[in-house]
Amino acid sequence: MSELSAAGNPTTSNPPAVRMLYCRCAFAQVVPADVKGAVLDGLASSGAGFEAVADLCDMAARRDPHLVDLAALAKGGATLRIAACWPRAVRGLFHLADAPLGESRVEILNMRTLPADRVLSGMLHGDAAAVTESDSPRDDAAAEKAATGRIAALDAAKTP
Amino acid sequence: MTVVTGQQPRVVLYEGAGAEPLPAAERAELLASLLDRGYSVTMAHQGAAPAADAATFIVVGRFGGTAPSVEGPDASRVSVRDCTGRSMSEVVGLVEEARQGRPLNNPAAGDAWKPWFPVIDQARCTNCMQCLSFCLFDVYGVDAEHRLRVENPANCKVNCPACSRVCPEVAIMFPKYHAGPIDGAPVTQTDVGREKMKVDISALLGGDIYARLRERSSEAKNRFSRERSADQALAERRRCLTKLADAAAIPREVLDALPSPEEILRKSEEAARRAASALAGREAAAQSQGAAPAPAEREEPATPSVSPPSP
Repeated sequence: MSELSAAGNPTTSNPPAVRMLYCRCAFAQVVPADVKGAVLDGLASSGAGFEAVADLCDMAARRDPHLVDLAALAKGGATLRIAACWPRAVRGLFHLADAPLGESRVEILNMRTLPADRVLSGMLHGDAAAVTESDSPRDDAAAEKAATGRIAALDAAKTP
Repeated sequence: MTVVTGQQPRVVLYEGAGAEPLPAAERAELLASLLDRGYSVTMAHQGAAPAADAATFIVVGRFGGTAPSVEGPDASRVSVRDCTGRSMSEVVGLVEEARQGRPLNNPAAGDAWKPWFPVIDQARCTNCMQCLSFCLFDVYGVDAEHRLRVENPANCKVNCPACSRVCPEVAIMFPKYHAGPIDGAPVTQTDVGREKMKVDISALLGGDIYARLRERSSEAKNRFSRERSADQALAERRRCLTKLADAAAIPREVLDALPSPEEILRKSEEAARRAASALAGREAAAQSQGAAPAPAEREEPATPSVSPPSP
């Protein structure tokens, strides 16, 4: 049996080039439940290591030192991929926690607007287009269409 | 309401060397259950290297009866639990047991604090201090360099985005708001120019808000002495605040919880003093360094639309 560090990972001197962070947004319903559920399922079954937090807002309000650690990793050369909400808000939350992301390599995927498969693609493989779209003005008509599609899919799944 | 401070308690789900992976469905169920209870979770595989921190209190995994040793400065405080043969609800029980009173903001608990507070877009904020001057709840403060900062997030009134409406630069976000740009969506030129983004509180109440409050306070005193009708005073207060609630999307319960006009005056004077002090500090710092304030600040005179009452 290998030994674990305090964080539970095998001791290693080579930090990964990509770190993934998933926000559950557990205190609000602003992120579609089916999207955040599918993204978590996808990450969990990917075989990749990742970090998941109940709520980035909650962490920022506490000025959780873990956010400082993550920001430092990104500044140190690792790519930090974050599945959460609007990039402007995520950057603001890190800044509030005294962990500014600056110009470091951070890729934020917006679960409020992107479908789950695009978020997963961005998290697991890197998807520059998905990152760009995450910070694009909301297309209300498209969002409504996507929501309608999700509801129809859920209804279909419930039908015996 | 419970406001929790410190780090979110962290669980490590270990599937590295020597541990048997959980079936995908069970892994996803366990992750979702823990997150929905307010825990952070690190999904650790061999070769992964999440940062160790003092928040980690338990490592769970299917170790086949032989739990691995844990290393690190906080190793003695980390429990290792073998979840072989256990259901996911039992594993959640193990985690709850191992937490041993560490504070947790559990979203499912009735007394949980919803993390609702303003978040500043540093790329847009010009440190004009209008929000600091506006807020009556000491949410805002300034840092050592006299820059605006969200000092007391937990003081914010849940679901109230009022200060974002007075920001002339659309720099204040509430990530859990339902619509853009307050939720963090990109700011368009239309947003900047839109009248609703620059709510002039004075105009809403028909003039200088503080003059109106002084007047109202005086009127109320006279009226109380004549009629002694608290109900009538309350009704008038509600009528007056309805316009404000509608225009700035302020929840009615927040308005109802506002202090007396006298207390509002006192708090607003205090907030205005802090804002003026911060602005003076920034100006002095800029002058001592021989540098002019940033262009945006020069273009946007620091004149709060909500002016303090005259002495």
